Amino acid sequence: MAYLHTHNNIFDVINKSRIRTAALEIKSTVYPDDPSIENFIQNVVEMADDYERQFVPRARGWSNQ
Amino acid sequence: MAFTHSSGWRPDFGGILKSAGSGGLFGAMCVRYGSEDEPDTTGEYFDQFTDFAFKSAQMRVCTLFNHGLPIDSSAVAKRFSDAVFPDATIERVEGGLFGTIKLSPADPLQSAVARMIEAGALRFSSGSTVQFARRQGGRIVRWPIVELSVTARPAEPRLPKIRNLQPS
Repeated sequence: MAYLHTHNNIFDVINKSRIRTAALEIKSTVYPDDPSIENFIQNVVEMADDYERQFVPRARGWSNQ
Repeated sequence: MAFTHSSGWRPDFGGILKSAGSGGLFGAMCVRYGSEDEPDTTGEYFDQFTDFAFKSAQMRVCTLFNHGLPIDSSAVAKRFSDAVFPDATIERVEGGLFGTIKLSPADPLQSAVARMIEAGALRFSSGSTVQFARRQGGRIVRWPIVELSVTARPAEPRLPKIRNLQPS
């Protein structure tokens, strides 16, 4: 019988220590209505802008750019 | 009984292909080699000796949005975090690994991801699992990639933004 790992589902094991994403602050806002995909896209663009301001200038100073 | 079209029948597309939105072939570096002096934002780094468990020149892994983690508590964020997008292709290039994904304009979530890419909001980020990954201090010794995510906040800020590889 094949042994089935109980912990090998990638969706179960993905967490901060095993992925390559900067720590993410989950927004506590609960929207009164489900936001549309358009709103979601806008949120992601704003999140990317924040990331650029926070991390990218530091990376520009590194040698292997 | 199954309906059979007469010979020579073709679907009536009207001669014009309609697009439901953005889509296409997109790509960027998905792993960039660092060093002890220049780790990523989590204090770790890959280098050219990291074992990504390639079984051939290319590997294919499924694509997730932000590693399957919702970016906020909205229902639409959950839709994106639950979605499994078309497989990404990963291959070695100088200085790291390069990822490519093909997104369908007919799928609303894929089309939305394509629009986020076109807005310059997404970069790649690789995911592995505890059984596979091995670290030695900050150096990542082994990192078999089980999924490639598109995210606004990768751990490695030197990664370039994902871009359209077939601009019109």
